[in-house]
Amino acid sequence: MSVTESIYGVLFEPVTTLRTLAVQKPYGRALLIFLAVTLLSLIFEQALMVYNDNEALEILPANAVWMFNILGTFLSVLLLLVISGLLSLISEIIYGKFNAGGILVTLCYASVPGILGPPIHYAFSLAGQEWLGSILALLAMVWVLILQVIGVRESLQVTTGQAILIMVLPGLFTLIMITSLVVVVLSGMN
Amino acid sequence: MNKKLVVGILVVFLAVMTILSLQGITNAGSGRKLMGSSVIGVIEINGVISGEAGGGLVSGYSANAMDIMESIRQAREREDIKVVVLRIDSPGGSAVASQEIARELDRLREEGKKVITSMGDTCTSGGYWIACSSDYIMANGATLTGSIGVIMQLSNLEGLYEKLGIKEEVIKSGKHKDMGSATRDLTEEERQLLEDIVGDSYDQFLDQVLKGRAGKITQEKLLEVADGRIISGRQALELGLVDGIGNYYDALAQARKSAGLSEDSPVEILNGTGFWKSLGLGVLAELSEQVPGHFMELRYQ
Repeated sequence: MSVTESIYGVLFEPVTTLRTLAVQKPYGRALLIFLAVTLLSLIFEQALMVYNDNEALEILPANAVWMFNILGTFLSVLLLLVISGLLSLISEIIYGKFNAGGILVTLCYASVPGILGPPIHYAFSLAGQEWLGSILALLAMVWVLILQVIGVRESLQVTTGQAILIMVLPGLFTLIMITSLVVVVLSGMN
Repeated sequence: MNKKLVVGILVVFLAVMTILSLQGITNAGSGRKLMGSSVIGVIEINGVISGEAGGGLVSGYSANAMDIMESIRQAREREDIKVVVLRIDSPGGSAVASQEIARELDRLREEGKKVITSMGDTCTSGGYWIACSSDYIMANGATLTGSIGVIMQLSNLEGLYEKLGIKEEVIKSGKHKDMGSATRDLTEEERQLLEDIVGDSYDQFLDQVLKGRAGKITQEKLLEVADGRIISGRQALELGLVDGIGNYYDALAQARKSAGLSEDSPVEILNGTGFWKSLGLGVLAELSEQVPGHFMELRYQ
Protein backbone atom coordinates (compact mmCIF):
# COMPACT_ATOMS: atom_id res chain seq x y z
CA MET A 1 0.00 0.00 0.00
CA SER A 2 1.50 3.35 -1.08
CA VAL A 3 1.60 6.43 1.16
CA THR A 4 -1.09 8.13 -0.92
CA GLU A 5 -3.35 5.09 -0.74
CA SER A 6 -2.83 4.67 2.98
CA ILE A 7 -3.54 8.34 3.78
CA TYR A 8 -6.57 8.41 1.50
CA GLY A 9 -7.73 5.10 2.91
CA VAL A 10 -7.45 6.22 6.54
CA LEU A 11 -9.54 9.28 5.75
CA PHE A 12 -12.21 7.70 3.54
CA GLU A 13 -12.03 3.91 3.90
CA PRO A 14 -10.73 3.56 7.44
CA VAL A 15 -11.89 0.05 8.30
CA THR A 16 -10.27 -1.85 5.43
CA THR A 17 -7.20 0.41 5.40
CA LEU A 18 -6.50 0.10 9.11
CA ARG A 19 -7.13 -3.64 8.96
CA THR A 20 -4.54 -3.97 6.17
CA LEU A 21 -2.06 -1.72 7.97
CA ALA A 22 -2.46 -3.73 11.20
CA VAL A 23 -1.34 -6.79 9.27
CA GLN A 24 1.37 -5.19 7.11
CA LYS A 25 2.82 -3.12 10.00
CA PRO A 26 4.86 -0.50 8.10
CA TYR A 27 6.52 0.81 11.30
CA GLY A 28 8.92 3.32 9.76
CA ARG A 29 6.33 4.97 7.55
CA ALA A 30 3.75 5.00 10.34
CA LEU A 31 6.12 6.69 12.78
CA LEU A 32 7.17 9.21 10.13
CA ILE A 33 3.53 10.09 9.48
CA PHE A 34 2.90 10.43 13.21
CA LEU A 35 5.97 12.68 13.59
CA ALA A 36 4.91 14.83 10.64
CA VAL A 37 1.39 15.19 12.06
CA THR A 38 2.72 16.08 15.52
CA LEU A 39 5.30 18.59 14.28
CA LEU A 40 2.91 20.32 11.88
CA SER A 41 0.25 20.45 14.58
CA LEU A 42 2.76 22.14 16.88
CA ILE A 43 3.46 24.83 14.27
CA PHE A 44 -0.27 25.47 13.80
CA GLU A 45 -0.86 25.47 17.56
CA GLN A 46 1.98 27.95 18.01
CA ALA A 47 0.49 30.21 15.34
CA LEU A 48 -2.87 29.99 17.12
CA MET A 49 -1.20 30.91 20.41
CA VAL A 50 0.40 33.93 18.75
CA TYR A 51 -2.92 34.89 17.17
CA ASN A 52 -4.69 34.66 20.53
CA ASP A 53 -1.89 36.53 22.35
CA ASN A 54 -1.42 33.58 24.67
CA GLU A 55 0.24 34.65 27.93
CA ALA A 56 2.63 31.70 27.86
CA LEU A 57 4.37 33.25 24.88
CA GLU A 58 4.97 36.44 26.86
CA ILE A 59 6.29 34.59 29.89
CA LEU A 60 8.44 32.05 28.09
CA PRO A 61 11.30 33.00 25.79
CA ALA A 62 10.67 31.94 22.17
CA ASN A 63 13.49 29.41 22.31
CA ALA A 64 11.98 27.77 25.37
CA VAL A 65 8.59 27.48 23.67
CA TRP A 66 10.19 25.66 20.75
CA MET A 67 12.22 23.52 23.11
CA PHE A 68 9.03 22.46 24.90
CA ASN A 69 7.47 21.72 21.51
CA ILE A 70 10.33 19.46 20.48
CA LEU A 71 10.32 17.81 23.89
CA GLY A 72 6.55 17.34 23.56
CA THR A 73 7.00 15.65 20.18
CA PHE A 74 9.61 13.30 21.57
CA LEU A 75 7.41 12.46 24.56
CA SER A 76 4.34 11.88 22.39
CA VAL A 77 6.26 9.28 20.34
CA LEU A 78 7.43 7.66 23.56
CA LEU A 79 3.90 7.71 24.96
CA LEU A 80 2.56 6.15 21.77
CA LEU A 81 4.98 3.25 22.10
CA VAL A 82 4.04 2.74 25.75
CA ILE A 83 0.29 2.96 25.09
CA SER A 84 0.49 0.50 22.19
CA GLY A 85 2.20 -2.02 24.43
CA LEU A 86 -0.18 -1.36 27.29
CA LEU A 87 -3.34 -1.75 25.17
CA SER A 88 -1.99 -4.98 23.71
CA LEU A 89 -1.22 -6.26 27.22
CA ILE A 90 -4.71 -5.41 28.49
CA SER A 91 -6.24 -7.17 25.50
CA GLU A 92 -4.07 -10.21 26.07
CA ILE A 93 -5.09 -10.39 29.74
CA ILE A 94 -8.80 -9.96 29.04
CA TYR A 95 -9.36 -11.49 25.60
CA GLY A 96 -6.17 -13.43 24.98
CA LYS A 97 -5.44 -11.40 21.81
CA PHE A 98 -2.34 -9.25 21.33
CA ASN A 99 -0.87 -7.17 18.51
CA ALA A 100 1.21 -4.31 19.89
CA GLY A 101 2.84 -3.64 16.51
CA GLY A 102 -0.52 -3.42 14.77
CA ILE A 103 -1.87 -1.07 17.43
CA LEU A 104 1.24 1.13 17.10
CA VAL A 105 0.85 1.40 13.32
CA THR A 106 -2.90 1.99 13.37
CA LEU A 107 -2.65 4.59 16.14
CA CYS A 108 0.00 6.42 14.10
CA TYR A 109 -2.25 6.44 11.04
CA ALA A 110 -5.31 7.31 13.13
CA SER A 111 -3.64 10.62 13.98
CA VAL A 112 -3.81 11.74 10.32
CA PRO A 113 -7.17 13.62 10.50
CA GLY A 114 -5.77 15.38 13.57
CA ILE A 115 -3.55 17.37 11.24
CA LEU A 116 -6.65 19.05 9.81
CA GLY A 117 -7.95 20.47 13.11
CA PRO A 118 -5.35 23.13 14.00
CA PRO A 119 -4.90 24.56 10.47
CA ILE A 120 -8.66 24.73 9.92
CA HIS A 121 -8.98 26.41 13.32
CA TYR A 122 -6.23 28.86 12.37
CA ALA A 123 -7.71 29.53 8.92
CA PHE A 124 -11.13 30.30 10.39
CA SER A 125 -9.53 32.45 13.09
CA LEU A 126 -7.80 34.51 10.42
CA ALA A 127 -11.15 34.79 8.64
CA GLY A 128 -12.74 36.07 11.85
CA GLN A 129 -14.80 32.91 12.44
CA GLU A 130 -12.86 31.40 15.31
CA TRP A 131 -15.90 29.70 16.84
CA LEU A 132 -16.49 27.71 13.66
CA GLY A 133 -12.82 26.81 13.54
CA SER A 134 -12.98 25.57 17.15
CA ILE A 135 -15.96 23.35 16.36
CA LEU A 136 -14.29 21.88 13.26
CA ALA A 137 -11.08 21.30 15.23
CA LEU A 138 -13.12 19.48 17.85
CA LEU A 139 -14.73 17.36 15.13
CA ALA A 140 -11.26 16.46 13.84
CA MET A 141 -10.36 15.29 17.34
CA VAL A 142 -13.49 13.15 17.50
CA TRP A 143 -12.58 11.75 14.07
CA VAL A 144 -9.16 10.76 15.41
CA LEU A 145 -10.74 9.10 18.45
CA ILE A 146 -13.10 7.08 16.25
CA LEU A 147 -10.19 6.01 14.04
CA GLN A 148 -8.22 4.98 17.12
CA VAL A 149 -11.07 2.74 18.23
CA ILE A 150 -11.30 1.23 14.73
CA GLY A 151 -7.51 0.79 14.69
CA VAL A 152 -7.45 -1.06 18.01
CA ARG A 153 -10.47 -3.13 16.96
CA GLU A 154 -8.94 -4.18 13.65
CA SER A 155 -5.51 -4.80 15.15
CA LEU A 156 -6.83 -7.08 17.87
CA GLN A 157 -9.80 -8.48 15.94
CA VAL A 158 -12.24 -7.67 18.73
CA THR A 159 -15.66 -5.98 18.74
CA THR A 160 -16.09 -2.19 18.90
CA GLY A 161 -17.29 -2.40 22.50
CA GLN A 162 -14.31 -4.50 23.49
CA ALA A 163 -11.94 -2.06 21.74
CA ILE A 164 -13.49 0.86 23.62
CA LEU A 165 -13.16 -1.02 26.90
CA ILE A 166 -9.50 -1.77 26.20
CA MET A 167 -8.86 1.90 25.49
CA VAL A 168 -10.81 3.18 28.47
CA LEU A 169 -9.34 0.78 31.03
CA PRO A 170 -5.93 2.49 31.51
CA GLY A 171 -7.65 5.82 32.16
CA LEU A 172 -10.18 4.18 34.45
CA PHE A 173 -7.40 2.40 36.33
CA THR A 174 -5.48 5.67 36.77
CA LEU A 175 -8.63 7.40 37.99
CA ILE A 176 -9.28 4.66 40.54
CA MET A 177 -5.66 4.80 41.70
CA ILE A 178 -5.74 8.59 42.13
CA THR A 179 -9.09 8.44 43.93
CA SER A 180 -7.80 5.71 46.24
CA LEU A 181 -4.65 7.73 46.92
CA VAL A 182 -6.67 10.84 47.72
CA VAL A 183 -8.96 8.83 50.03
CA VAL A 184 -5.96 7.28 51.82
CA VAL A 185 -4.26 10.68 52.23
CA LEU A 186 -7.46 12.34 53.44
CA SER A 187 -8.23 9.53 55.90
CA GLY A 188 -4.65 9.76 57.17
CA MET A 189 -5.08 13.50 57.77
CA ASN A 190 -8.20 12.86 59.84
CA MET B 1 -6.22 9.36 -9.74
CA ASN B 2 -8.93 10.63 -7.38
CA LYS B 3 -6.95 9.42 -4.40
CA LYS B 4 -3.88 11.29 -5.56
CA LEU B 5 -5.95 14.41 -6.16
CA VAL B 6 -7.50 14.30 -2.68
CA VAL B 7 -4.15 13.71 -0.97
CA GLY B 8 -2.59 16.39 -3.20
CA ILE B 9 -5.22 18.94 -2.18
CA LEU B 10 -4.63 18.00 1.45
CA VAL B 11 -0.87 18.46 1.07
CA VAL B 12 -1.29 21.83 -0.68
CA PHE B 13 -3.70 23.01 2.03
CA LEU B 14 -1.24 21.97 4.73
CA ALA B 15 1.67 23.61 2.92
CA VAL B 16 -0.22 26.90 2.55
CA MET B 17 -1.32 26.83 6.18
CA THR B 18 2.21 26.00 7.33
CA ILE B 19 3.55 29.03 5.46
CA LEU B 20 0.80 31.24 6.89
CA SER B 21 1.43 29.90 10.40
CA LEU B 22 5.18 30.42 10.19
CA GLN B 23 4.59 33.92 8.86
CA GLY B 24 2.24 34.62 11.76
CA ILE B 25 4.78 33.37 14.28
CA THR B 26 7.66 35.31 12.69
CA ASN B 27 5.68 38.51 12.35
CA ALA B 28 4.69 38.38 16.00
CA GLY B 29 8.36 37.95 16.90
CA SER B 30 9.39 41.01 14.93
CA GLY B 31 6.49 43.00 16.21
CA ARG B 32 4.71 43.58 12.90
CA LYS B 33 1.48 42.40 14.47
CA LEU B 34 1.53 45.58 16.52
CA MET B 35 1.99 47.83 13.49
CA GLY B 36 -0.37 50.74 13.45
CA SER B 37 -0.47 51.16 17.20
CA SER B 38 1.96 53.14 19.33
CA VAL B 39 4.44 50.78 20.86
CA ILE B 40 6.99 51.02 23.65
CA GLY B 41 10.12 49.23 22.48
CA VAL B 42 12.16 47.57 25.20
CA ILE B 43 15.82 46.82 24.65
CA GLU B 44 17.52 44.63 27.22
CA ILE B 45 21.21 45.02 28.01
CA ASN B 46 22.08 42.11 30.26
CA GLY B 47 25.57 40.98 31.24
CA VAL B 48 29.00 42.16 30.25
CA ILE B 49 28.91 44.54 27.29
CA SER B 50 30.89 43.01 24.49
CA GLY B 51 31.81 44.17 21.04
CA GLU B 52 32.34 40.75 19.61
CA ALA B 53 30.10 39.64 16.79
CA GLY B 54 27.13 37.55 17.92
CA GLY B 55 25.96 34.25 16.62
CA GLY B 56 28.14 31.92 18.65
CA LEU B 57 26.37 29.15 20.47
CA VAL B 58 27.65 30.25 23.86
CA SER B 59 27.55 34.01 23.38
CA GLY B 60 24.05 34.25 24.80
CA TYR B 61 24.45 36.02 28.10
CA SER B 62 26.82 38.84 27.22
CA ALA B 63 25.32 42.04 25.93
CA ASN B 64 26.47 42.03 22.35
CA ALA B 65 26.87 45.54 20.93
CA MET B 66 26.01 44.50 17.38
CA ASP B 67 22.72 42.91 18.44
CA ILE B 68 21.82 45.87 20.65
CA MET B 69 22.65 48.40 17.94
CA GLU B 70 20.53 46.42 15.51
CA SER B 71 17.60 46.63 17.92
CA ILE B 72 18.12 50.38 18.34
CA ARG B 73 18.17 50.85 14.57
CA GLN B 74 14.99 48.79 14.34
CA ALA B 75 13.38 51.10 16.92
CA ARG B 76 14.53 54.09 14.89
CA GLU B 77 13.16 52.79 11.61
CA ARG B 78 9.82 51.56 12.88
CA GLU B 79 7.21 54.26 12.93
CA ASP B 80 5.02 52.44 15.45
CA ILE B 81 7.72 52.60 18.13
CA LYS B 82 7.33 55.95 19.83
CA VAL B 83 9.59 55.51 22.82
CA VAL B 84 12.29 53.09 23.92
CA VAL B 85 12.93 51.72 27.38
CA LEU B 86 16.44 50.45 27.97
CA ARG B 87 16.54 47.79 30.63
CA ILE B 88 20.15 47.69 31.80
CA ASP B 89 21.55 45.06 34.14
CA SER B 90 25.23 45.22 33.37
CA PRO B 91 28.54 45.82 35.14
CA GLY B 92 29.87 47.46 31.97
CA GLY B 93 32.39 45.97 29.62
CA SER B 94 34.14 47.00 26.46
CA ALA B 95 34.64 50.77 26.24
CA VAL B 96 34.22 50.79 22.48
CA ALA B 97 31.08 48.66 22.58
CA SER B 98 29.54 51.01 25.18
CA GLN B 99 30.39 54.02 23.02
CA GLU B 100 28.94 52.39 19.92
CA ILE B 101 25.65 51.63 21.66
CA ALA B 102 25.46 55.13 23.15
CA ARG B 103 26.07 56.67 19.70
CA GLU B 104 23.16 54.71 18.24
CA LEU B 105 20.96 55.88 21.10
CA ASP B 106 21.95 59.47 20.37
CA ARG B 107 20.88 58.95 16.75
CA LEU B 108 17.57 57.52 17.93
CA ARG B 109 16.98 60.58 20.10
CA GLU B 110 17.93 62.87 17.23
CA GLU B 111 14.95 61.34 15.41
CA GLY B 112 12.76 62.69 18.19
CA LYS B 113 12.20 59.39 20.01
CA LYS B 114 12.59 59.41 23.75
CA VAL B 115 14.80 56.89 25.57
CA ILE B 116 14.11 55.92 29.16
CA THR B 117 16.59 53.82 31.12
CA SER B 118 15.49 51.36 33.76
CA MET B 119 18.35 50.07 35.89
CA GLY B 120 18.27 46.52 37.23
CA ASP B 121 20.62 45.09 39.87
CA THR B 122 23.69 46.70 38.37
CA CYS B 123 24.26 49.51 35.93
CA THR B 124 27.83 50.51 36.39
CA SER B 125 30.64 51.84 34.27
CA GLY B 126 29.93 51.06 30.59
CA GLY B 127 26.30 50.40 31.57
CA TYR B 128 26.12 53.88 33.06
CA TRP B 129 27.86 55.33 29.99
CA ILE B 130 24.99 53.97 27.90
CA ALA B 131 22.38 55.17 30.40
CA CYS B 132 23.73 58.70 29.98
CA SER B 133 22.50 58.63 26.40
CA SER B 134 18.89 58.52 27.56
CA ASP B 135 16.37 61.20 28.42
CA TYR B 136 15.43 59.82 31.81
CA ILE B 137 17.17 57.36 34.13
CA MET B 138 15.12 55.33 36.58
CA ALA B 139 17.05 53.33 39.20
CA ASN B 140 15.96 51.13 42.06
CA GLY B 141 17.05 52.33 45.48
CA ALA B 142 19.47 49.43 45.84
CA THR B 143 20.73 49.40 42.26
CA LEU B 144 24.50 49.48 42.06
CA THR B 145 25.55 52.22 39.69
CA GLY B 146 28.39 54.67 39.13
CA SER B 147 31.85 53.13 38.82
CA ILE B 148 32.73 55.98 36.50
CA GLY B 149 36.23 55.22 35.38
CA VAL B 150 38.38 53.25 33.00
CA ILE B 151 40.44 50.16 33.63
CA MET B 152 43.06 48.35 31.61
CA GLN B 153 44.40 45.14 33.03
CA LEU B 154 47.53 43.43 31.80
CA SER B 155 48.97 40.13 32.94
CA ASN B 156 52.64 39.35 33.21
CA LEU B 157 53.01 35.62 32.71
CA GLU B 158 56.80 35.67 32.48
CA GLY B 159 57.29 33.47 35.54
CA LEU B 160 54.75 30.92 34.34
CA TYR B 161 56.31 30.78 30.88
CA GLU B 162 59.71 30.16 32.46
CA LYS B 163 58.33 27.24 34.45
CA LEU B 164 56.78 25.83 31.31
CA GLY B 165 59.95 26.29 29.34
CA ILE B 166 58.36 28.69 26.89
CA LYS B 167 60.54 31.45 25.57
CA GLU B 168 59.06 34.09 23.31
CA GLU B 169 61.11 35.59 20.51
CA VAL B 170 59.91 39.04 19.43
CA ILE B 171 60.76 40.68 16.15
CA LYS B 172 59.23 44.16 16.01
CA SER B 173 59.28 47.19 13.76
CA GLY B 174 59.18 49.70 16.60
CA LYS B 175 60.04 49.74 20.28
CA HIS B 176 56.43 49.92 21.41
CA LYS B 177 55.02 47.32 19.04
CA ASP B 178 54.85 44.66 21.76
CA MET B 179 53.61 47.08 24.39
CA GLY B 180 51.62 45.15 26.96
CA SER B 181 53.35 41.88 26.18
CA ALA B 182 52.57 39.11 28.66
CA THR B 183 56.19 37.98 28.76
CA ARG B 184 57.84 41.01 30.33
CA ASP B 185 57.27 43.99 32.62
CA LEU B 186 56.08 47.32 31.25
CA THR B 187 58.74 49.97 30.83
CA GLU B 188 58.12 53.37 32.45
CA GLU B 189 57.62 54.91 29.02
CA GLU B 190 55.06 52.26 28.07
CA ARG B 191 53.29 52.69 31.38
CA GLN B 192 53.03 56.42 30.73
CA LEU B 193 51.66 55.84 27.24
CA LEU B 194 49.00 53.47 28.52
CA GLU B 195 48.12 55.80 31.38
CA ASP B 196 47.61 58.56 28.82
CA ILE B 197 45.18 56.34 26.92
CA VAL B 198 43.31 55.44 30.09
CA GLY B 199 43.27 59.12 31.08
CA ASP B 200 41.91 60.14 27.70
CA SER B 201 39.19 57.51 27.87
CA TYR B 202 38.34 58.69 31.38
CA ASP B 203 37.98 62.25 30.07
CA GLN B 204 35.64 60.94 27.38
CA PHE B 205 33.61 59.21 30.08
CA LEU B 206 33.34 62.46 32.04
CA ASP B 207 32.29 64.30 28.89
CA GLN B 208 29.60 61.70 28.23
CA VAL B 209 28.21 62.02 31.76
CA LEU B 210 28.33 65.80 31.68
CA LYS B 211 26.59 65.82 28.30
CA GLY B 212 23.95 63.30 29.33
CA ARG B 213 23.36 64.81 32.74
CA ALA B 214 23.64 68.45 31.70
CA GLY B 215 21.98 70.71 34.26
CA LYS B 216 21.67 67.85 36.73
CA ILE B 217 25.21 67.51 37.97
CA THR B 218 28.14 69.93 37.92
CA GLN B 219 31.66 68.99 36.85
CA GLU B 220 32.99 69.59 40.37
CA LYS B 221 30.36 67.37 41.93
CA LEU B 222 30.94 64.70 39.31
CA LEU B 223 34.70 64.66 39.83
CA GLU B 224 34.11 63.98 43.52
CA VAL B 225 32.45 60.67 42.76
CA ALA B 226 34.01 59.77 39.41
CA ASP B 227 36.85 57.85 40.98
CA GLY B 228 35.58 54.39 40.10
CA ARG B 229 33.43 54.02 43.22
CA ILE B 230 30.08 52.32 43.04
CA ILE B 231 27.05 53.99 44.58
CA SER B 232 23.48 52.99 45.28
CA GLY B 233 20.54 54.15 43.20
CA ARG B 234 19.39 56.40 46.01
CA GLN B 235 22.82 58.00 46.37
CA ALA B 236 22.89 58.46 42.59
CA LEU B 237 19.56 60.30 42.78
CA GLU B 238 20.92 62.65 45.44
CA LEU B 239 23.98 63.33 43.28
CA GLY B 240 21.94 63.86 40.13
CA LEU B 241 23.28 60.82 38.32
CA VAL B 242 19.77 59.41 37.93
CA ASP B 243 16.36 61.10 37.65
CA GLY B 244 14.08 58.91 39.70
CA ILE B 245 13.65 55.86 41.89
CA GLY B 246 11.37 53.15 40.59
CA ASN B 247 11.18 49.75 39.03
CA TYR B 248 10.75 48.55 35.45
CA TYR B 249 7.04 49.29 35.41
CA ASP B 250 7.63 52.80 36.71
CA ALA B 251 10.06 53.23 33.81
CA LEU B 252 7.37 52.02 31.39
CA ALA B 253 4.94 54.52 32.95
CA GLN B 254 7.54 57.25 32.54
CA ALA B 255 8.01 56.19 28.91
CA ARG B 256 4.26 56.41 28.25
CA LYS B 257 4.13 59.80 29.92
CA SER B 258 7.07 61.21 27.99
CA ALA B 259 5.71 59.98 24.65
CA GLY B 260 2.11 60.84 25.44
CA LEU B 261 0.94 57.24 25.07
CA SER B 262 -2.14 55.69 26.63
CA GLU B 263 -1.86 53.36 29.62
CA ASP B 264 -2.68 50.29 27.55
CA SER B 265 -0.09 50.97 24.86
CA PRO B 266 1.66 47.69 24.06
CA VAL B 267 5.18 46.85 25.08
CA GLU B 268 7.47 44.91 22.79
CA ILE B 269 10.85 43.49 23.69
CA LEU B 270 13.03 44.15 20.67
CA ASN B 271 15.86 41.84 21.61
CA GLY B 272 15.29 38.50 23.27
CA THR B 273 16.99 36.55 25.96
CA GLY B 274 20.07 34.58 24.95
CA PHE B 275 19.68 31.04 23.68
CA TRP B 276 21.54 29.29 26.51
CA LYS B 277 19.86 31.34 29.18
CA SER B 278 16.45 30.52 27.74
CA LEU B 279 17.35 26.85 27.97
CA GLY B 280 18.44 27.31 31.56
CA LEU B 281 22.08 26.89 30.59
CA GLY B 282 23.26 30.39 31.45
CA VAL B 283 26.38 28.87 33.01
CA LEU B 284 27.63 27.92 29.56
CA ALA B 285 27.16 31.47 28.37
CA GLU B 286 28.92 32.87 31.42
CA LEU B 287 31.81 30.50 30.80
CA SER B 288 32.21 31.99 27.36
CA GLU B 289 32.64 35.40 28.98
CA GLN B 290 35.60 34.13 30.96
CA VAL B 291 37.57 33.43 27.82
CA PRO B 292 39.56 36.59 27.05
CA GLY B 293 38.84 37.81 23.55
CA HIS B 294 41.57 40.41 23.34
CA PHE B 295 44.84 40.67 25.14
CA MET B 296 44.65 44.39 25.77
CA GLU B 297 41.36 46.21 25.96
CA LEU B 298 40.01 49.32 27.56
CA ARG B 299 37.10 48.52 29.79
CA TYR B 300 34.47 50.62 31.49
CA GLN B 301 33.95 48.01 34.14
